Amino acid sequence: MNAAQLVLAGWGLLICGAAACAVVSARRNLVGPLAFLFVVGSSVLVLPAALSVLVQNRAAETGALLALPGVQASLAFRVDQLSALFLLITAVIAPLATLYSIPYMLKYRNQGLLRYYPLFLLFFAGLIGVVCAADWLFFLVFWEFMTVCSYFLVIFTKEDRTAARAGLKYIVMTHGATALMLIAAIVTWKTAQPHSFSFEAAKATMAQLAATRPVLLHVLLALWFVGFATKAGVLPLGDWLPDAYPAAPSGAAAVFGGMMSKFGIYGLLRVFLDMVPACEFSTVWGIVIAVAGASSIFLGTLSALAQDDSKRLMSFHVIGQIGYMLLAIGAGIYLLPVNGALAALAIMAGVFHLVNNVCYKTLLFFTAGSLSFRAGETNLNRLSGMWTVMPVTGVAALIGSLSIAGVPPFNGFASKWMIYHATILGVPGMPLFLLLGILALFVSLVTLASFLKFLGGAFMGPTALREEEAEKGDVPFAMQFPQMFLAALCIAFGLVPMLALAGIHRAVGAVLPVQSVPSLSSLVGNSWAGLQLSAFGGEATGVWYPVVVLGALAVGMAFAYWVFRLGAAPRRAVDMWQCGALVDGALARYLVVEPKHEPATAQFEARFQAHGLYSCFKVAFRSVYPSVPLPHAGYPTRFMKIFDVDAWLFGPLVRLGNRLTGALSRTHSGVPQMYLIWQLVGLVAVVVLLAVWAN
Amino acid sequence: MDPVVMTLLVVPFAGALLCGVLSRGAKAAAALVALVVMALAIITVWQAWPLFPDGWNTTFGQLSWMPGGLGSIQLFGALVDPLSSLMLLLVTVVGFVVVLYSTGYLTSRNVEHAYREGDNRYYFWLLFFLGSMVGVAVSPNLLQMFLFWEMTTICSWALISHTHTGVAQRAGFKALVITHIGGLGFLVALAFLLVFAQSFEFTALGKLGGGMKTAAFLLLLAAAWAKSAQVPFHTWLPDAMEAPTPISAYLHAAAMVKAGVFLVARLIQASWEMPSLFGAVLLAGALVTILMAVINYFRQDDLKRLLAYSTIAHLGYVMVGCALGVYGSWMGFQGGVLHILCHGVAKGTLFLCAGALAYGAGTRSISKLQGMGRRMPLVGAAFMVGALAVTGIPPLATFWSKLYIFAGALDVRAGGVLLAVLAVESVVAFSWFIYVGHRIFLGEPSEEAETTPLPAAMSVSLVIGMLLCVLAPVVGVPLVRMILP
Repeated sequence: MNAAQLVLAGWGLLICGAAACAVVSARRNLVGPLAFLFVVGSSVLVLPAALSVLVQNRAAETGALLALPGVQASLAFRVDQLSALFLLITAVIAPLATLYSIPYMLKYRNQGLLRYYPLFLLFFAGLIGVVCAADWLFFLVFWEFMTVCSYFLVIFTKEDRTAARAGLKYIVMTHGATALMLIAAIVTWKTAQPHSFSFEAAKATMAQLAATRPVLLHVLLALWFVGFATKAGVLPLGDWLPDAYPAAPSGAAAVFGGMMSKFGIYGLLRVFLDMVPACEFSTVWGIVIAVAGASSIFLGTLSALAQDDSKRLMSFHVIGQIGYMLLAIGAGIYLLPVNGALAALAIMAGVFHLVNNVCYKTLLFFTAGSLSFRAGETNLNRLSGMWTVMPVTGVAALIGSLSIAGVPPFNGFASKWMIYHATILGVPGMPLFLLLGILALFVSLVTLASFLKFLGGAFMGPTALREEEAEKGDVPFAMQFPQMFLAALCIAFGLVPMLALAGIHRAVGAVLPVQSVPSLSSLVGNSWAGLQLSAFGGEATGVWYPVVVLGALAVGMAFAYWVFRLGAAPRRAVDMWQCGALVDGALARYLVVEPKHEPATAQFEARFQAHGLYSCFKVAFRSVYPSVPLPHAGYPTRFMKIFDVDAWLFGPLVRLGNRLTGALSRTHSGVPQMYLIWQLVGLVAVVVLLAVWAN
Repeated sequence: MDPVVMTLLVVPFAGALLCGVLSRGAKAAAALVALVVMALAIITVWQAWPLFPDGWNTTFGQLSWMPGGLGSIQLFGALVDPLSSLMLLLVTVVGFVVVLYSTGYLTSRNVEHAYREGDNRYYFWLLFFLGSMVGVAVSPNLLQMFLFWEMTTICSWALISHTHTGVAQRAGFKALVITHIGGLGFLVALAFLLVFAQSFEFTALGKLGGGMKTAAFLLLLAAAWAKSAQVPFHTWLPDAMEAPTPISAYLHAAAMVKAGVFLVARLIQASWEMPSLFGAVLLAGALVTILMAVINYFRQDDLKRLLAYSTIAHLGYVMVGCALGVYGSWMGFQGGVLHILCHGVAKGTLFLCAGALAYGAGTRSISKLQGMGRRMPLVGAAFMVGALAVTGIPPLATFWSKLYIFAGALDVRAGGVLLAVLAVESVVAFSWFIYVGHRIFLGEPSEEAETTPLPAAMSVSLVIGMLLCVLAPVVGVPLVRMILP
């Protein structure tokens, strides 16, 4: 049994699991663990398969499972190194999210779980299908399948109008994007000789189009880009994202924010690396992707600052973080025709950031979910002091926040550092990338600020919970474990980046359109203790050894402590900083700018407004992501009348007919003499006719 | 083969007479007859399958006293080729589902309209219609098709005005008049064919000379447009929504309106070399129809009227496929034919959902229905599956037919524009159906949402409908791939 067949078996297990969960969905306590069992079973099959593909550095394929000769498409699971990387991610995150859902979903007492677990499992099956398809038609089939499953998860709380609206926006925008991609796929299919949807044929076709019909290729690439960028949430196509993700139950939201968005990146890598040869198209589209990424970084993250809802805040960061990946990948694609080694480094940086992002973004969504699970609240203005109630979640949130903000030695730093390196140092001939890199660097600080708000708002300060609620303590272990696991991953990838980069190098290498892929050691060094980047081959241009830095820090702190003891400085007792200050004798979280006057919780809110520090951003960036109201269809009445055939054609015709028959019926006067005259007239007419005919 | 097909043609009419005689047992008898018809149709297709793409053909009946070559014209018979198999399966399978559904729907417990129990008139006409549709599907020539064609028109009139309210009678009459005027075109075209080509075969059109050919084609096309509710003959279909909902599901989604596009498909398949003018007329008509239907989506509050406009648009899709066939795109033609089947089952399912809502809540008004998902989860699921299937979400029904049409569109000049237009329509229709689904099934339940439970017969029909949405392309794609010029 080869790796692809194993993955197929895991995929089948998910489908069976969905059916099984549908059958037992009425048993609320049983269906969650059952779903978890199936997902774990599937991961046990998928994980070693994906690892073996990466270790052997060779793609695996099942035979054709389903052939559609009519449209020259065939379904086969093909696991190459890039797919394997995403399969690894899925296989790790899926069980964690399902485990997390078990206690969380019991919260929804009046919603049937039939609409959660089966769809959740089918959604994972869709994800696996997307990365394993080697045929654009089936890729899109799986893609849309995954989208529809996730849409039903978004509208899970069916009484909630906000969720319904968010779901509508989500499905409409992503379906439109899929339609664009379907058009691109069909045009590619049509151009291929002989017609075929397979990846190989598409690759050959694109290479041929690049030489013969560049305009068409640009149009196709634009369609693919818009399609995938919509899914990834790239601005302004990601308008749906901050509405949709918070609406889903937290287990699903974590998977959407942590994982699903990144499958848009998978698509982009598949098209722009695997399909398009390194040529002037790479230059153009590299810049487009990088600029789209940078604008997402900037606007997404700055919008996040203004959010008071923890899940919305996370969602905007999904957009911002996707921007980092796109910036690096765009730079890499731009560099392809110029400098293959540096291109490889930039793309690896982007993909590394993707892997790291999966870890901490899922983690952060989990912590936001835990907060809402325990406190029943996602508004940071009303949350407070949860650290004392749920310390484990607090630690996890801290690690996640520091990781996403790019604080060393966590994993976010390692990948962001590589991105800055590649963009700022790496593209000397193109000052645009320097600018974008510096922008990204700056926005990292904004990220830190917004997560300070999250941490400070939710975890610091006095607790807002009632005592009996607070006594329940931290979330159940099934929710703690996924958080701890991912936090550990964040630290592990931060301390030993090579752990992830070894696999990423193979994943990227498999699709990089260059003659010979530079070796891992020539790009990032060969030490497990850290990274030694060499942007231009040969000499190292940047070095990062987290263990060494940590060691030096430890030594420094020991030294400071030694000096402190030596000097015998007096001890002062001060209150612990709770992310706030004393204002008018009362502890306020931040400077209060717009106090609210509602009774009940007003006083609490006034004192503990989480957004006080950021109100200027709230004002300045309010309209960055305007919520677009659905247009009301109204037509000019005259226009509509054209199609109202009854009114101007049939109606008059019927009336005319009525009038004619009415007129004719008047001849029936009932007077015998009149009938005789009619007969006479008729006779004369016939005679005249015959006479005319005879002549 | 012979006895099976002949039984198939006779059984529904015999069943109709039986239902007319019975009073209490009409329900059960009708369901049984429909089941038998479905089984016979499946057997027929099964037996004819090895003979495809030619299929199985038999003819009889001549007017030997007619002068000249007219005496040797074959009048009647049966033809089971891939195209008629597709139509046959559609009308009999959906027919069975609809009869089953009707046994639960037409009861005094129906909140929207309490039907008199033991009303055998309904089942008489329904089975009569089923037989007529089978006749249309297996017709080997235009004459026989015309006879059955007009029989479906009469059934349509009777079934639309079934409730005998003033509005319903008016709607039935309107449908009768408009489709019958179209039918006159058919009759005149038959006369042309008899006189100038001395044949009623589907290929006879090709034997006519230039101007006469165009005239005959346009007359036949007018008949098809009227039957399939294409612009400018579309106005009867939305009004026909006064019919009992199972009738709308059957006549106005799956079967009768498909007769028109079926005729066009037959003509194009038979006389492959058609002037491109015909294609242009077909395509223009179809696009105008689709445009008209789409802009009317947004103005409908009656769920059934919305579905009616959607049906009109999808019949336009089939016409687009046929037009592509005229332009030489085999793939587009196959897609159009496949769309007959795929749209039939998907839209049928949606109509059954609309009926279930009306049965339980007593209204079809989109603005009054709200939060029905809590009261009728099965209907919600079926509506969503139907909506996704009808708008072409993979891997459900119409995705495959639309894929074929889209791919075929690229075969013709400026096909990219056509592709873009169809894709836009597709996305808009999808958005609107999802929006309507949200309006009806999500949110807090409204007053109307206090519902009576559905009878088992209706629930089972909905489940079968959902299954058909998945299975239709599995049968349909191999069939249409065997449709050759």
